[in-house]
Amino acid sequence: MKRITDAITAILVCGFVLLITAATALNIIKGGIALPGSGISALLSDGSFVRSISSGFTDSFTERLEWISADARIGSALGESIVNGVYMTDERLLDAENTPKKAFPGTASAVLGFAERYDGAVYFAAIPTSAGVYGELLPEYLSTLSTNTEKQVIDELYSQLETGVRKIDAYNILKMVSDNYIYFRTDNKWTGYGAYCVYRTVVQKLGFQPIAYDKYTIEHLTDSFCGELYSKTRYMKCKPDIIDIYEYTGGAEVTECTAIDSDGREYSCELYDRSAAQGEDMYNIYPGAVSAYFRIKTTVTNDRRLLVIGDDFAPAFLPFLVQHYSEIVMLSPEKISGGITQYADPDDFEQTLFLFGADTLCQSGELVRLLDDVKEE
Amino acid sequence: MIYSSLLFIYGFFPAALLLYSVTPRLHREKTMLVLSIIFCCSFGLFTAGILTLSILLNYVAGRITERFSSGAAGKAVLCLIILADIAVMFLFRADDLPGKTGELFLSIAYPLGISFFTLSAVGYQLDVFRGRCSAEHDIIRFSLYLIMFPKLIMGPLVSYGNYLRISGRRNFSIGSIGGGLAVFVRGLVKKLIGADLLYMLYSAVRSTDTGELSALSAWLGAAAYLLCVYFELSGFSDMGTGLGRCFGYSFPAAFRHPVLSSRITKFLSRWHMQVLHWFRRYILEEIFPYTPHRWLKALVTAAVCGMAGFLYTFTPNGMVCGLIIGAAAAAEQLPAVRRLPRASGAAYTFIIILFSGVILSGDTITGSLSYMLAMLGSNHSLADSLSLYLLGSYVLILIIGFFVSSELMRRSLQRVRRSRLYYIALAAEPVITLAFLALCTAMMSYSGSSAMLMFKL
Repeated sequence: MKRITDAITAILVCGFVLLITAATALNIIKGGIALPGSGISALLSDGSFVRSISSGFTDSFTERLEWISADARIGSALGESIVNGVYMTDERLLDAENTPKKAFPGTASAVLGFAERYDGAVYFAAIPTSAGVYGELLPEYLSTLSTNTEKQVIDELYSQLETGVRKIDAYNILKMVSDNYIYFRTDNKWTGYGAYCVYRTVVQKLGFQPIAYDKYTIEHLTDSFCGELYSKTRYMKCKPDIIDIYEYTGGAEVTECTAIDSDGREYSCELYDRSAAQGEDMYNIYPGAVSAYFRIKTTVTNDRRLLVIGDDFAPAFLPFLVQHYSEIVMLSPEKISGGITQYADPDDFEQTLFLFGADTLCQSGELVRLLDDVKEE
Repeated sequence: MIYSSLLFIYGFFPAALLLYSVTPRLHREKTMLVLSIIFCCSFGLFTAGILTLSILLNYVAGRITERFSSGAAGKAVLCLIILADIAVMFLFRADDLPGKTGELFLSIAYPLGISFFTLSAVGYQLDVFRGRCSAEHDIIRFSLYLIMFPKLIMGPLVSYGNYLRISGRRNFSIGSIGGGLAVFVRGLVKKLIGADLLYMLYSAVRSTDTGELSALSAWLGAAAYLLCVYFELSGFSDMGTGLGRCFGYSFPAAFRHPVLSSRITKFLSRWHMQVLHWFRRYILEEIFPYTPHRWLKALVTAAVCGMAGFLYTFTPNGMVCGLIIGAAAAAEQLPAVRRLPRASGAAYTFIIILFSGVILSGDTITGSLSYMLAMLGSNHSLADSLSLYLLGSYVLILIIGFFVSSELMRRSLQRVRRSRLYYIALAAEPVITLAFLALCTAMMSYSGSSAMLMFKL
């Protein structure tokens, strides 16, 4: 009998494996796998060649989204609240990666070096992620990690940014208004309203009076946005998110928007990309969400120019600055392969605003790389 | 590439199995070697190059040792090759070797299984020198013994003589594939559901400052660590054994439900059996003839257990953990300890194993000692909200974990085998195997693998 069941096991399992292998192979043939740029050295030394094949294989894995969703559903049914590093509650999804957080080495000195090198005023806004603000929803051991250490990361970074850089306390502003819809339920990032709450303070530091909230016309562009945290679980008990866009009808107008993508392709565009509401990532509605460089020219006649260097948090913030500057340029270090001066000369701007999420400040050294490049120049 | 990854299960494995099955029987070893070389290359060509060089050196050294086994030349070659083998293992495994911070080493992928590679190579040389087996003339068979992909990552570890027997009795059939897949999936379940879930509990406890840890949290963390180590090691061993069986090689199991054993010696006879057997065969049995006194034998046993513990972590903590277990095993030979009732034996064995696990898990001895004090209530807190939350979340998996890793499971299985239930279980095995494979696939679908490894052996 054992022989018979072994044979049945072989037929069933091999059939299942071969079916999935064939379907995945078809997906790979259709889409291809991106191999690492440093082909030979990756093949020779650190195993990154196979890691990138493995990553491509996983991305092309047949019905991958369904598998991810099934994993979350099984976990949820078994009472598991953390799936793929995401803590699932009825209210929202939160990043629950249990990793100690610390600002990427050299971030403070790179920003200080930048501030020293240029004459203009430098501002720094470190934005907590949703897990940083709503940490109390997480299990105690995780909330200690995410709340305190995100705050600690920001405090520590700010303490290192001594003179020469003006710091913006976004953490306490957001914490105070945390009862409002300031963070997406399905993403780490803030909503338009969250960005507005910080804008009110930032813009005063930049030397302007903020535009009152009631002056804006708010348009609900979509109510079915499912953010990055959702994409990790493909399952949620909470509702999808709303993406609002803010327009000040009586104010200055945008005359020109130019973007350069990470491949160096330049194109004209609108402030908001409304077509992204039908796309895969609706967050791309916000200006510059997909570009390495984004320039906005406005009808404001004060001839003031602002350089924003930021991550995924910056695009939702940008529209509020439109009323105060004749030109704004945003650079995304993670999408830029070369140096800043390939895109803009910081000396042309009297103010530079660094705006980064706490998660990017911990994980990514792109800002340090970008500013190192400036130092060399 | 590790076994618990989508690329291996749905890419490498089916391709390997297809290629192996269409190869004529006579050339299957060659095919297996090619597949194993491809598997090794997944750690980088440089690493594969070092392993190839080591294979060639061991092959040549084995031949020389055999020819001059009674002379000084044979002994010199034996010493040199053993030193070279151990040096390669140290080169990859010891993190704080002088000069190892250079870019060259940082950029080389860590070859998983280097410890098993080394133990196999050293064991082979000693066997040849002692005349327990002849030096292998067939370079393909010899290479396969050292880098065969089903046993490369974490065993099974077998002596060369045993390997030849297993290889000679290869039985590649649809039944062997089915039986192997069932064992492989069992290992995968141990890794993904047992080890990975319990690691979350362990890391939750470890992320709390030891000075603030309640006694309950500390006990939960220690229990989670012990089970996590068991599930990871036995999971990978099962995956290796299962893969071997798929290709016709019937390797023995490495674990036999060791947790909750009634004596330390019983625990040692069931824990990572082939590794501990290696230390017994190639070190203890070599030294024992020169240790006439019982107390000296006990001392040597403890020291060898310390070496085995060191193999796991390459830190002083690993060595101390092994020394404690070895000393306890030696103490069990005392008549007073032997007379202890079974229940007391199980209790002290569990406590010693758990506390040794705490030492093994620590970065420093003092850190482990503070953790043990927290277990004993030094922080004046028996339980807190964290411990209650963790207990509520993980109590079921802890109970199941202790059950399946202990003798209780073995006895239950024996009872089932004698009853009608056995046939029902046997009939359900194909569906259960498939269901667990699908579950594990879902669990790996986001990251593509379960690459969390507590020990890089």
